[in-house]
Amino acid sequence: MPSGRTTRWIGLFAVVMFYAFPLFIVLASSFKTNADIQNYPLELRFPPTLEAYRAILTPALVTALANSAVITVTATVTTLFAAIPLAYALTRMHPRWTGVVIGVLIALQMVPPAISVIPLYGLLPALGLIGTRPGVALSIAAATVPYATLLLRPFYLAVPNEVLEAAAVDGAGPLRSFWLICLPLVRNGILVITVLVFIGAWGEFLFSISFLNDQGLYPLSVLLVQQQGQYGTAYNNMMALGLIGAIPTIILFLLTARKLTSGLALGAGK
Amino acid sequence: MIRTKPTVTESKPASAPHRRGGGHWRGAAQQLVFMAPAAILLGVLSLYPIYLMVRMALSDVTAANLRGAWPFIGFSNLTQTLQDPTFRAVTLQTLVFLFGVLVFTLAVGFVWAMMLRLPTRINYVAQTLMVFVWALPPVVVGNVWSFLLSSSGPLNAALVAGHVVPSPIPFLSQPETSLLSIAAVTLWAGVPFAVLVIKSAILDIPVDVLEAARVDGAKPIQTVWHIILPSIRPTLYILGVLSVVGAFKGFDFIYVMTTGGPGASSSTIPFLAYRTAFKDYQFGTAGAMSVLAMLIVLVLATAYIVVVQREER
Repeated sequence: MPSGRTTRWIGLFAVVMFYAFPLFIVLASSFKTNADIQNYPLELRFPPTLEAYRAILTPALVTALANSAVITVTATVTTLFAAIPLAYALTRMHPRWTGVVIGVLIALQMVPPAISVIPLYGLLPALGLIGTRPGVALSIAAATVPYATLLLRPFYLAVPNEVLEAAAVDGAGPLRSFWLICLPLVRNGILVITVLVFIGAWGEFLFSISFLNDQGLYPLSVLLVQQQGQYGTAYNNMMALGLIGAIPTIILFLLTARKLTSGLALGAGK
Repeated sequence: MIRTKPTVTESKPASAPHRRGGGHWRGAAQQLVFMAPAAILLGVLSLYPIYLMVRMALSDVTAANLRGAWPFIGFSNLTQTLQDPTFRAVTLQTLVFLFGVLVFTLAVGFVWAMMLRLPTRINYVAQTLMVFVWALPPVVVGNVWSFLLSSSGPLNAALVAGHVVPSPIPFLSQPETSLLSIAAVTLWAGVPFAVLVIKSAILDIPVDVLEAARVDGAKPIQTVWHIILPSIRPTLYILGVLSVVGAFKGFDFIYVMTTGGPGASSSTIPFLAYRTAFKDYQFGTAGAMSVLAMLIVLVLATAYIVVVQREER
């Protein structure tokens, strides 16, 4: 509607370049030698090499990937286990203090992790969770539950009242309504938050780097942060490692992109 | 966009026999079952830490006595922090940072949403690309831009080769541009979400209204100003609050790209609090900064709730 078609095409081209070009440079850099990056950072014709990938594919990387998997899966499962019933209770069971709880969730969601890490660092030792992957995973889950719950609400609210009323007339209590009716109908919402929580936990590094001390327990995200300074600045290694770190996101994304996009719009915009 | 609240009737079906007395109690117990896992998790690892944070702020806590007793010292951490010139500078930086991210997220988000709102193939590609970037681990994005913005990196290479500047600009290691670089990357990674949400809102506007305007001879810019923008105002408000919250929570980019420096020139209040605790081991002071940061959180949460209530009018 605004301006002519040509302007729109130029604008679109700019947007695509703005996002595609940096990613492309990253991809290209991961196949260069470090010297090539230093001397010809923009050069797109170069003798490709697997030197960076060879350098980073070490047992340490495998360990880190395993740690990431453990932390991410634990955090995701815990979040789902807490958020799915909570959202149901808040939307379909009308406890007295629904408004208060939602308000608290909204406020908790806004607490910067850099802040919450400070008292947690004092609390986790008392709980025997310091220096452990479950400690990190549970902290991530606690930080994510408000977001997941609030995101699930619109999906529960979208379950048609008539269906629930009919079930209640047939004698179904809240538990049956939840299990047999709501859960299947909010499947999309659960998928969306599972993907978002998973991706978020996979990339999480603040709690990991603050609560873990053993290099053998660090997830991949910490390894990525350690790239700077540890290898000087071997940018080709860093880019290769970054691409590997992005693989779960890429895979999940390819599998769920459409549903994710529409789910996000539903959950956040409405 | 008005969401109908679930009515009371659907929880009091006609033939349920045990509603009063016993039924009511049973209802509360069942509610507890559904809320229990979250209540325990959040109670222990989200709410109790906030109480600890306040206690920290009012005590003399360092790495030495973190696991021991915390001597109570009243408000002196707070007053000291409020008078600290670094803290004041960082507070100002934070406000500028939040404001900048807010304005650009909404402005750029709106313009791009308008550009991308038709369901064409290239629009789909552009959006997918953008959402993919949004979903990347922030650590990866931070590393990527550390490389792209480095003095020997591609951006400087392009600037120098194109004779825009005589020599490379150390974006991340000089105070003048460090915060700006963080803001730019925050926007790069965050705008896709805004575009999605705004686009959704724009497409919600009834086609007849836009048609009527066109038939009446309205110029595109008039349609935007008088119809589109007012229609999506609630979305823009909510998105605005969420963008500010996201920027305030931002940590990874700062840590990976500049560690808040040089000095504290690219730190926000939360990052400064983190650094005070984990680099300087001053947990009491960090607690005080955290409490002050929580005040900002409360303001943002209130703003959000007010806007949402107004929209669900």
